[in-house]
Amino acid sequence: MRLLIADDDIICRRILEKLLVKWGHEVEVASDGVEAWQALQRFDAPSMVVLDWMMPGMDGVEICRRLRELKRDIRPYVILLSGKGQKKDLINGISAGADDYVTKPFAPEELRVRILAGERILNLQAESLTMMEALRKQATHDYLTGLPNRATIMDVLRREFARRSRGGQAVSVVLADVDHFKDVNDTFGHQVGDVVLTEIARRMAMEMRSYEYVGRYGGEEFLAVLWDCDTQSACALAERLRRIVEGRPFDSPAGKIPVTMSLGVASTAEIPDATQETLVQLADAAMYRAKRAGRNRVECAMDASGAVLPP
Amino acid sequence: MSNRTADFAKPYDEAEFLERVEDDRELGDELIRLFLDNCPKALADLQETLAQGDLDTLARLAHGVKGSIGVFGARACFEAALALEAAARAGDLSAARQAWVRLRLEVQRLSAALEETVGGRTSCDC
Repeated sequence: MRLLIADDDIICRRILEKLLVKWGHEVEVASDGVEAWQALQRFDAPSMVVLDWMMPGMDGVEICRRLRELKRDIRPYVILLSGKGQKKDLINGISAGADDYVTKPFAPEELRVRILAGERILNLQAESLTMMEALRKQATHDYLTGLPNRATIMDVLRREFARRSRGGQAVSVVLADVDHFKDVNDTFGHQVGDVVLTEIARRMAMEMRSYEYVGRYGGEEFLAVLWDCDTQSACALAERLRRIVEGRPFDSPAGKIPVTMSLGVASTAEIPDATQETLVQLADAAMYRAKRAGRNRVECAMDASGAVLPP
Repeated sequence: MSNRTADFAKPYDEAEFLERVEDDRELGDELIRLFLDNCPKALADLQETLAQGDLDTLARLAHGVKGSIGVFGARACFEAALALEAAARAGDLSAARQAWVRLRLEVQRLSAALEETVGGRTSCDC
């Protein structure tokens, strides 16, 4: 593990350094409080620090306090080292934010196992963070395609609407529905259907710029949210999406499967008063118009004059 | 109680010191040399600070010296440093002067003993 030693006394520093290296740790050394605080603020800070209480510049307790205020998922684990052996000092140290406390002069064996205990806690923290991140991903993303799920893409749309109310730029949505998807499932089986959906999701995600988002809206429906994008640009993107799906049939164990999509576009450029729900409803209506008009095409919720078309 | 007296009679406890360095004699010798090298300046700083009556700095310096001394298992010396730190912290100048006299004596005893240890070993190695 990577450890920082912070002690102003050269003898204590040397003994710590030598022992910790011997115990297999990677060691960084600071000879006063300010130097230690600088090292601990770095984004690649050591994960544990053996910190002397009394140091010129900034003492160990002050460093503990500042560490507690850092907005980080995992803060360095602090073993406070001090010649103060009284109970109230231990209480002060731990209260200030130290994780553990060892009195000087220390028995090497004791410090060694306390570092091990700290390592266990750090590992637990890292595990629970990884798990939380995985759960967050599970809760916000679609399991099959890896795209944001319906709730998340609607959150994105809500966020873009809030941003729009401040900046004024238009927000557009594209609702895409895979044509005759039921037939794919019925003919080739659900596993092939899943492969097709995953590949469509991949192709659509590739087409998005960094500030554009696409999510899985329903079974075979995808919703793209486009920021600062007028109707014309939104239709152009929808057309690109249509083409990248139509253009290359999908590989499956049963051979190549041709797939197409019908897409509906709606933009606040023409309907500034629309809520996010209305915008999606309008895109949905346009998409159904595309279906009725023969599928594999893009329809816009508005006509060229900006009037909203009947569904 | 008799054990404690015995501990105080020795300038430092070599067995305890070796335990603190996990029997690494090379590290032990290095620490002793560091201590001996830094000792004159540390003592001079203490003396000067005491003469100036700067008790805050004195407490900090005494604390530092105490940390070094603790490593060697030098009880009497450690107690003297502790007394100096405590007196300085309490703002008691006359107690600090007394503790300082004791500490200087103990550090000299400790230094001599440490000197003997590394000196003896160096000559053996040659």
